[in-house]
Amino acid sequence: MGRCDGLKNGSARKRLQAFWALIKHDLRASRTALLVTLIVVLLVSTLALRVAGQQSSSEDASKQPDLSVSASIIDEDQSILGGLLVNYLEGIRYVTAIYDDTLPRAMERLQADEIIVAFRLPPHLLEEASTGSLRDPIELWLNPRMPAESHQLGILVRQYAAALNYVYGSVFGYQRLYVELGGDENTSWEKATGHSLNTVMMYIDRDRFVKTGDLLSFNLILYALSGVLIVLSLLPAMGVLAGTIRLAGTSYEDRLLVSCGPTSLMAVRLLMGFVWWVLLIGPLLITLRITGVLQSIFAIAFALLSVYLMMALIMLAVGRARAPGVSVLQTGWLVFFLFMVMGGVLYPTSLFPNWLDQGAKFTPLYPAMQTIYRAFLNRGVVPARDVLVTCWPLLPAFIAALLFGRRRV
Amino acid sequence: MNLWMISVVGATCVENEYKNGESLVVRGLSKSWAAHKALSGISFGQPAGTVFGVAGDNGAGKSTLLKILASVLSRDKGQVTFQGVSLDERTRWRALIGYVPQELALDDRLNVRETLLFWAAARGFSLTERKRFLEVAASDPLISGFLDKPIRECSGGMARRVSLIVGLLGDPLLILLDEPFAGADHHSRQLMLERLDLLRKRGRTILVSSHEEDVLEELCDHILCLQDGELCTRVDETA
Repeated sequence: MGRCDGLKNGSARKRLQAFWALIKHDLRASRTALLVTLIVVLLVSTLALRVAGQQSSSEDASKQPDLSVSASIIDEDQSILGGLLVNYLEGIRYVTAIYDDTLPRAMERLQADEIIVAFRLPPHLLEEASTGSLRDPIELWLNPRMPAESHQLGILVRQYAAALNYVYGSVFGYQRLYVELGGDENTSWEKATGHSLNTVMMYIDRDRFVKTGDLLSFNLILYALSGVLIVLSLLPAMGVLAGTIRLAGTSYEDRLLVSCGPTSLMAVRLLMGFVWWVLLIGPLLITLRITGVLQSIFAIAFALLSVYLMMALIMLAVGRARAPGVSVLQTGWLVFFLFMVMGGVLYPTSLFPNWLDQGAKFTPLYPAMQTIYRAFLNRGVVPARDVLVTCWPLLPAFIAALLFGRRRV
Repeated sequence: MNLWMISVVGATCVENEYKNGESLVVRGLSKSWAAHKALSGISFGQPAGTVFGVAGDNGAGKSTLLKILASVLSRDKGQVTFQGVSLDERTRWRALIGYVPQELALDDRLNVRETLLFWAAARGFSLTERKRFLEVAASDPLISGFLDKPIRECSGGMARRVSLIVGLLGDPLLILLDEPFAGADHHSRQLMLERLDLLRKRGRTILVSSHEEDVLEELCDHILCLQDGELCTRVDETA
């Protein structure tokens, strides 16, 4: 039997030996940093424990609606329409308070953050509405100090406005429809009436635009905590980038390449990043579980692991760019911040212009951020589908790492 | 005969069919960096149990040639085989070669013993093999005197000797040495030359680059002279 055959037979064992040797070497090289980080993370966990504990005790998530809206109605001529609107809004489950106010009083409430929005119904609204030709618009004042809630409310108002316009178009435009349809008068009348009734039903269906889970209440602490966990999950990926840049193209890497091949080098970097991830994330999640802020940590841990893996795979590819190390590192950090901003980790994407908000939903970190935030609101429990959605960026990231992340020979 | 490192793992027999013929065969090897031709149609054959030197000025293509043969750099054109194994079969190829790069490429946070253990494990040695290897290393004149010395405290010559030993791990059949004597003192150089001579006698195929022609003339059976990426002359020398 030739020497090559013998080597081939033992190649899997040798690769495993090499892999563990590299891991042990890297662990040994980073042991001081790992120890210091562990101490810091434990301290931060203790702090988070206190803050999260206070936050969870002040809220009873099961009794709170997903969105809380308080508003003032300013009906200048105290018409029946204003009264109907107040009655209608009071019946909606996410409306916590409706005030029938004068304009100055409504402005005072806005200043005092008692309400999120003030509606002003112009004088003679009812008379004008009955003829289908409004002269003065309905005015809205949104609270600038509650941008996230105002944005969500703005979306709702736009949806209701669209429905109302449809109703107007149907109810007052049926004569035109009749002319266009021609033919049998009774059929035309029935179709126009049916169409109008359908849209009215759509309008009065109070939960049509807001279903459970569609809109999230905004809890600054939990949102920030979600963001911090994601940032901590991303940091080990930047370590993967730094490690790749440090060795890329060096004789040391050549020697490692000859000794144990390119796959072990990539796998070792990913595993070392995972060790850092466990160190940074593990104690925090356990703390949150112990304090009862989370009933289960698996969904959040899975989403965070997916975040780390995705970014680490991307950084393996970025780290191989043929450019000076500093430029590659800067590119890596640029990708890091771009993903964070577009994923809503730093700010809720609802603060962005609508087109950017829509676009952000397709960025890699967005589903993870939403899932983790929802999980926090529900004490760690989210549907499995939402958790699995966080994995979609892994496939393109894996392909990128496979194509560009390997040491090219 | 004290074999020191070269008999640590497995059988050390060299396939005899290559002993007299050409063991390493390089045909039409070319490599370009953009417009610059680093190697242009290099061809040569080297029998097993010989030491070939690669001479040339800085930038002549010596390191490029060795990096390509070490499978850490791609080639544009050409065929390379060693004992019937093509360079394209990377896993098999890497199992056959030992490579000592021009730079030391050692972790200066480790001492010599830890360095040897690390590279032995990286090469795929089992725990038993590593223990055996360290026992042998303790009596190896190249490194036995400073096994517990940190790499960062080693002299240039000592570090070069450690680098050579690391390159010889696994008892490779084809040994590629890129400027292995750079920065080494006379004593270290003699020890390394003796080791390479011993390896030649054991049938290993050795390719060593250096710009110090006197060292090459002392050591090598043949010298390949590179100039601007081309093979210019082939000077035969007696070892």
